[in-house]
Amino acid sequence: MTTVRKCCAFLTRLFAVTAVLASFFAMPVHAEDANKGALASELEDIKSQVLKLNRDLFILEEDLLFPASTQIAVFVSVDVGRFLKLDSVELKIDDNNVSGFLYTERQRKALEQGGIQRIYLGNLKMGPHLLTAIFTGNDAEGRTVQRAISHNFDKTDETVMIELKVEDSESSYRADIKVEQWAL
Amino acid sequence: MAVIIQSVNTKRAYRIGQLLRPVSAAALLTCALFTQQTVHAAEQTEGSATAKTDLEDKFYRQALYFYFAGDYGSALRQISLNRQRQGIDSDRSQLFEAGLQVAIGLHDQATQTLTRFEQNQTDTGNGSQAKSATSPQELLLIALLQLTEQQIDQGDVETAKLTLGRITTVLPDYLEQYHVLSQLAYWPDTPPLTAQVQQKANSEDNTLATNSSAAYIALNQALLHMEQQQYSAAQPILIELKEQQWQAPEVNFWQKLFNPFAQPDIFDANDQLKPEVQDALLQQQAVNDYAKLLLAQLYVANQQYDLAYNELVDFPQQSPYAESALFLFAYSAQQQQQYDLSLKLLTLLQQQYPYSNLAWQAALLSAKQVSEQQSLAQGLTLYQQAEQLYLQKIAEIKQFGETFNDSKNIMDFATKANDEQNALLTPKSDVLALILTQRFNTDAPWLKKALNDPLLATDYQTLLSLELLSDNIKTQQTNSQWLKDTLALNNQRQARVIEQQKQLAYREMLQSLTAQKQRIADIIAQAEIEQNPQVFANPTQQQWLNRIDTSQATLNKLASQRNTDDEQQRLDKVKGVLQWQLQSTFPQQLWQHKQSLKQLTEQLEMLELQASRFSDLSTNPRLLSNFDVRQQQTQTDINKMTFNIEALNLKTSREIRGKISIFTQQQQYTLQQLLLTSRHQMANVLEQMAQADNISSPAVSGVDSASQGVR
Repeated sequence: MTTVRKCCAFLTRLFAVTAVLASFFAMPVHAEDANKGALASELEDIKSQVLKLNRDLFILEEDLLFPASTQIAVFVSVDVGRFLKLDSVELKIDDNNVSGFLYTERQRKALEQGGIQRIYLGNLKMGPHLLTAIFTGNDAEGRTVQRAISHNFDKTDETVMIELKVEDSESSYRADIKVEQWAL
Repeated sequence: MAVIIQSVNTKRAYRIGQLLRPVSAAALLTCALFTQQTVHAAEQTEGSATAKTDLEDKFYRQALYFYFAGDYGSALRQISLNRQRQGIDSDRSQLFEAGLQVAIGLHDQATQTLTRFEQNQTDTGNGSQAKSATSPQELLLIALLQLTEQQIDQGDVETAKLTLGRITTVLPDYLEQYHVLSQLAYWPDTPPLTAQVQQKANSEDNTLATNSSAAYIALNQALLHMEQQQYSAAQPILIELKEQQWQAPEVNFWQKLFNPFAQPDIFDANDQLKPEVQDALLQQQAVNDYAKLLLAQLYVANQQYDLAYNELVDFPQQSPYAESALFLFAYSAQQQQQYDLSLKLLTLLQQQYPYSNLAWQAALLSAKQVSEQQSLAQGLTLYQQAEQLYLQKIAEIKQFGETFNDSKNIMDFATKANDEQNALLTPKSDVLALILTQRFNTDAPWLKKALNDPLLATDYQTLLSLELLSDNIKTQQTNSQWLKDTLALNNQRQARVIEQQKQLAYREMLQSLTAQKQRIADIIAQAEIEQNPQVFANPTQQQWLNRIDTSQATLNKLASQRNTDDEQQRLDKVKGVLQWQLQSTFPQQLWQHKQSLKQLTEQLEMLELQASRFSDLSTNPRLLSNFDVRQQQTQTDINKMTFNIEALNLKTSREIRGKISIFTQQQQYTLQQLLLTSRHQMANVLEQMAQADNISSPAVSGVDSASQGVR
């Protein structure tokens, strides 16, 4: 009997250990190791610094390469996207190809879920310009379709931001491209 | 830890799309109302050219794009940029930022952001919105729960308790998660569960909430009962748990935000179960298996070996608890006097888990069984094999300890296998990878065993995170260097342009042009006053005028010598016709010249402005030096961070070495104890063999004793 009891006690201890190993419902060890928290905190601090550094460099790069007086930014958004599954976008400014983007499934969904993508950031001289965008994708029946739009705009000494919106038209059962120049 | 027991909504993605379009920042996610408002707002914007764009919405949605595309670092950066550059700091931005911070592991920052959000909510009196299905309070609850979960995962239970303490109201949907986290944070004590449960108006929902199985809560409860030896209380819970079926969790946008690994859709495009769903099913299976195992343990504790045996007879071989189940099954079989089966199971355990404590124990148990059931000689052989096994393992663990201590880089032991599932869920960001998508793995069996300690495993994950951050810093170092080179090139270009400007003397050229324009303006003004159309004569007309003047001069010379009346008359006629032509186009010419002059004036003004701007830019030494300073600052930051990463790496490595040292000592101690036991048992067996020999041949024994006495 004593052996049995010992064995049971052993098994109990054993399963207590096993329980700890089952990380998703077992209790992690209590904060007996003070260094543990300190390490995590230091790691978090470094992570935070990396993010800040990234942001600072990003701003520096934009300020240096794309000053507001010459900056133009073009954005793409999709409203619902039932009539056009976006595949790619080509951008031309004054008949020069400036940008093209081929979408992955995830990026397309990101747009359909309400995201706005900055597709182009560049520099332009002051004065009148012509933006042309060609959207390629599949319609509801899976056929390849293209939509194009042109937009005349004036570049002033302020940043120009233009949003190209792919919007479903309930009346025509097709997607239309609309242009919105952001008023800053 | 996955969010548990909720049903999946396969249309979630579409709903989120609808959810996020509303542009109002005042009330979060009250989508049905705001969708209409958005449409009207858009129409109004298009109708009015002067209306300002809702930049808060636009920039917020840029961050959303990064988030949905899986680039959490860039999403967080975008939110930060929006605040810094555009002054955008709305409620939803704050909550979104907190979610991203939790997902990336920035707990302190997330706590600060959430506190700021709570403060804003209090200040603006939005507390009444708590009843809304997607109220800020609900989102805050999700955030706090996920924060607690991560803090518990990191072993920081004290902070987790504080975070739980901030939860004042729990909605029924989150009750189970709240319970599980409370249990984990306060284990083995009973959690206080201070938060009030907010009842739903819909009674059907209540029923659903009550009926849904809280597997983890129940399992923890059963474990607690067993630890307190309240077996009768644990038994029904475990019986229910072992039969439980998995239900897909429903994960809304905000839950997914705070836990990027939570996934809503069960099936992929090919109608196959998604990997994460398969994983959830495996987890449910693990819960069932663990319940079975605990139940078997309970039966063994109550000496109901037949029940324990029956419970484990169909235990899955691939279960994570197969090792423990095998041992318990072998033991139950032994107690059921199924010795052959028991022996085979114990042998199998030793073969499959050579580094397991249970396998080491199994070696002793099988030797004991053989010596009792078969023969002492066979038992002795098995005890000798067990002794050899322990000696070998002691040598191995010593060797491992020395190798580990001597290694310069403890990451040399790693075989970094990509965590495919996590990689699928969070593809590495092109810009800023801050979420670890791999787990530390190793082929070294002792280290693998040591990694069962969650703290050690976390330390290794910290090292991996530091590697990731180090890679990030290297990328940013490259960026910074590139910016430095660009700045240097710009400085050179600026110097070159200034030099060219000096040589070209723009200012003088401009003055000369202005003087010329002024002269032309005077001529036009004079012509207008005098109504002199000759000023605007074209080259042919000018040629004619010149010829007329020449002819007139010739006639004047000849007038004293002969009669030139006829010629004079003809010349006057030609002059009159030309004058008439010039006079008839005079108003038109005057207007055209005035217009040209106006354009010239405008162009000269623009030129002057341009020259002035150019002059300002070229003579402003601070223009690029400001960039230089900023670039130098980032370089300083990079150096500092590189140093910090190295320091933390060293510190973590020291921690790991310390833990491994303790682990090797513990293993050696265990093996020494087992070795001692095996030797005691061997001595017992030898003694029994000697006694048996004595009984079977007392005469020989007597002779032997006599001969020993002589010696």
